[in-house]
Amino acid sequence: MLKKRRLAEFWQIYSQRQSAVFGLAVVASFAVAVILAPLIAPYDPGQKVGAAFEAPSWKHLMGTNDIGVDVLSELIFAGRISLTVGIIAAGIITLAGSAVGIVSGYLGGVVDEVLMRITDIVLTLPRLPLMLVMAAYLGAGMWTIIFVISVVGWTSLARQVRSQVLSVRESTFVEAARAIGAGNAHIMVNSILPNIGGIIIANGVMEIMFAILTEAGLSFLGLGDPTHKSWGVMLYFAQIQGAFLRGAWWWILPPGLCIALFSCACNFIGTAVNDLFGLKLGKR
Amino acid sequence: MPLLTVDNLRTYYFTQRGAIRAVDGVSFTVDKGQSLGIAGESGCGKSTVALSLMRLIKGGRVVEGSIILDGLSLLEMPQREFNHVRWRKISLVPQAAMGALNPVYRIGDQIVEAIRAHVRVSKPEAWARAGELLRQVEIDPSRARNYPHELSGGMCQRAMIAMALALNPDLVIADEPTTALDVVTQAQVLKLLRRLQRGLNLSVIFISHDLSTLAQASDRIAIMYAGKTVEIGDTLALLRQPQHPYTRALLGSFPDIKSTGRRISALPGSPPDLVAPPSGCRFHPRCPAVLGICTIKEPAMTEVLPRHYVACHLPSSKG
Amino acid sequence: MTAYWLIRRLTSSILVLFAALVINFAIPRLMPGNPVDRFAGGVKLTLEARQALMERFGLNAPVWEQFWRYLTNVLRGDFGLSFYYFPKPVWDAMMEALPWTLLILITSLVLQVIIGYLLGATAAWKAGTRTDSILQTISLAILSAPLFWVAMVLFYVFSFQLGWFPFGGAYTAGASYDTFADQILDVARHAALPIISLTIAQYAVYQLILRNTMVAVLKKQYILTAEAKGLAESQVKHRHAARNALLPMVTFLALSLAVSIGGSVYVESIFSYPGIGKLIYDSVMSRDYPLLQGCFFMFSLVVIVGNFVVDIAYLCLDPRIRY
Repeated sequence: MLKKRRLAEFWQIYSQRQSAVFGLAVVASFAVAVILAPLIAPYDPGQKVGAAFEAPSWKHLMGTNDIGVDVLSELIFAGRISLTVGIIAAGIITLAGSAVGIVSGYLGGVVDEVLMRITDIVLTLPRLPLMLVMAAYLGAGMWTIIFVISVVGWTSLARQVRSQVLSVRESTFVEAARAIGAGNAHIMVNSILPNIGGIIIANGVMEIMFAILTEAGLSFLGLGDPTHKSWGVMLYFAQIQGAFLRGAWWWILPPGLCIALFSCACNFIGTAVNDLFGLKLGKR
Repeated sequence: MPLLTVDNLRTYYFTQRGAIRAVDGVSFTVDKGQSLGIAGESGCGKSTVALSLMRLIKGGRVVEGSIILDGLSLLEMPQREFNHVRWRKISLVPQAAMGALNPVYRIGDQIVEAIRAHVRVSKPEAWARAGELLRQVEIDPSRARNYPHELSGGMCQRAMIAMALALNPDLVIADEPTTALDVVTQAQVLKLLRRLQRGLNLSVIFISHDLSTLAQASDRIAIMYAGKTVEIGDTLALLRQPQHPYTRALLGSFPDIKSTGRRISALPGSPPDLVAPPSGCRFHPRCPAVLGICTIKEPAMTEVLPRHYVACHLPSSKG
Repeated sequence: MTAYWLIRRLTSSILVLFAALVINFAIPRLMPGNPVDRFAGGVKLTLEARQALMERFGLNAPVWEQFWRYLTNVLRGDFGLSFYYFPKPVWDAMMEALPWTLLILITSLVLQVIIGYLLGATAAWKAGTRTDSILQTISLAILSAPLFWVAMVLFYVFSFQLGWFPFGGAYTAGASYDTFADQILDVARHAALPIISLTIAQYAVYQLILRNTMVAVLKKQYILTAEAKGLAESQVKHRHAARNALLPMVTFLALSLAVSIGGSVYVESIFSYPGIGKLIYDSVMSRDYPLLQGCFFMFSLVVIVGNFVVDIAYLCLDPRIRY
């Protein structure tokens, strides 16, 4: 009952922003589209259904690529990969970042020092080169990408969670819990976790955006999985198969637009949620 | 011929709730070399009067009235022209000086900036002048190279005064210049202001919620309530023979160090909502001597004693 | 600037560089497979050949000795020989590429800050009006677009279709110039699109940050004082308001160096610009591990130096900060 009312309250404030509602609509549409991919895609993206590099026509709304596959169908199915990788990576980042932030903030002392040092180092090292180094040794593929994104992405959340935990830790109700004799783990889960929920949700959306953009970039550089094409991989093939030379703008534009649109939507949502919780969102 | 004539000034702030009538028909004059204190509770409109004189109202505007300074009509001037008047003829010493000084520039820089915005002088000349000004307010000129955060609150206030005097204005508005200071520093600053005023034949408008400081620092006092002036008179006369019930209440709420056994009278109620002020005399809901007519008709400012004006329906009393 | 602060900064910088070296050293050894096999690149080696190579690379020595050797080599600037450009030393390859990357990075950073500043100050000054919301929305939208895609589109439209800019390279190969100015122009033409791509992709954050900070600053008392002094609007806007709002922008600059430097990888690949970004990309593709490690180290170095410079700029901006 209480949750429903709070949800209604949130929605009331949230929906006041045009951009936020727009963002939510876009994300929802994308989600629906990729889930229903087999139903809405006009063709099978694995099959050659037309001549190569056909311009958009009524038969192929977004034309075909270098091997005669329908771009629109490919696009919808690619959305599955992009979104899935984005969400998984964001999930890992959120878990890892929160865990580090909570442990570091709550336990303090040496643990805190060490964890923060590590965080600083990861923050200072150049992101993409680090990902490239790891990916070079791990080999291309979806899981490599998820792994390297997770390794570099957890720091921002860790820092924010930690500072929130620090302020909550000194609050009276935690003192009370300790006085009753609650153990550290118990306090961490029951008292601290609910209070940082706000930060985690607000950041979570931004992490998804970060993950999707980064996956696209890495795939574009050729580190993606050619058998499981994401939007980034589509652009990779577009690049190396000479979409430029053939003037095949219909291959280049849509994947990038999808990435941009989805990220934009996440951005709007994230900013709105962030304002909702009255927090300061750290910039990457 | 008074230096400054303010006539029927009305300044409203426009909010979602409606128009806040912060200053609603205020008139007063200030003579050359005279200091006028404006007193009242917070929210009575005294700061708004100050900002209106400088045309610095944000989120609202002067909707009616005239301000004549040394023959110039301040409200009707185009912005460019008024920018020249600012600081040259009329300057402002804002509240809480440390916040009123830009933290990233040195004190000297800020004074020099004020000077060079209006007069063509070289940097060294301007810096020399800044040093002189600081000396006038009893600050060592070498402190001009300090940043605001390196000075104490009292010094910042005095530096602000020095800056306000940079172009020898005719009128200086001091908005709560001593509010943020401790009692000892307050006394220092007040003495300084008085001395400068006399020495430079300066006109000052002194705004404060503290009647005791005004008692020391001004020649005349204007009492404001809910956006209107309720009493204006020479300081001594006003303090000895307050005509308006509000003034009496203000004076009565001061603990007197000398007398014992006199009860402190606090004023019941709170200031009215300026979006929809009370009908008739705005003070009537809290007035201990309210009459029937007070709820219907607004009293006009009338001269009940020589140079002593009051807006009240009560017959003039002996105090 | 106290000596204490300097020492602290230096130690943390060295720590980061050390971490980069450890990563370079550890990762290949943690991965399955023998470094020698990687060097051979798929060619099957005879037992003797393999032994000889292992001797040559010192892989028979204990780990600590190998690490020590690695450290001392790095300090001497010896990053080994590139696999792909064999026998060219990695150091040489990097030194040829570094200036180009620095050129586009620094130019675009400066442009990002300037454009972000101008737009942000305008948005803040007109906060709450349509101008403000339009600027905000446009910037958020641009920010969401992936950098490499923006670069691709720019390349397609301006190099390919319109032919205004060349297809690649840092300058026209084999060209002789009449004047120095001609040379500069040629370099500029080649660097233009990379710089523009980088700038478009990242200027928006500066705008947003400045705008938000400045809106808060505009409410401060000293802005009122500045206006009361009769100063012109532009003076109040820039000298008083924006000047106080710069700090978060600069903070962000420091934080974002590690991220934005990655942009050069994409941009240089798409525009075939011979900088370190392209070098590291090529090294990943061709499994040129020594070159890869060298570039990674170089990137780390650039970021650290950049951070240092920003910290010093910090000091000049806010007199209240004293280390």
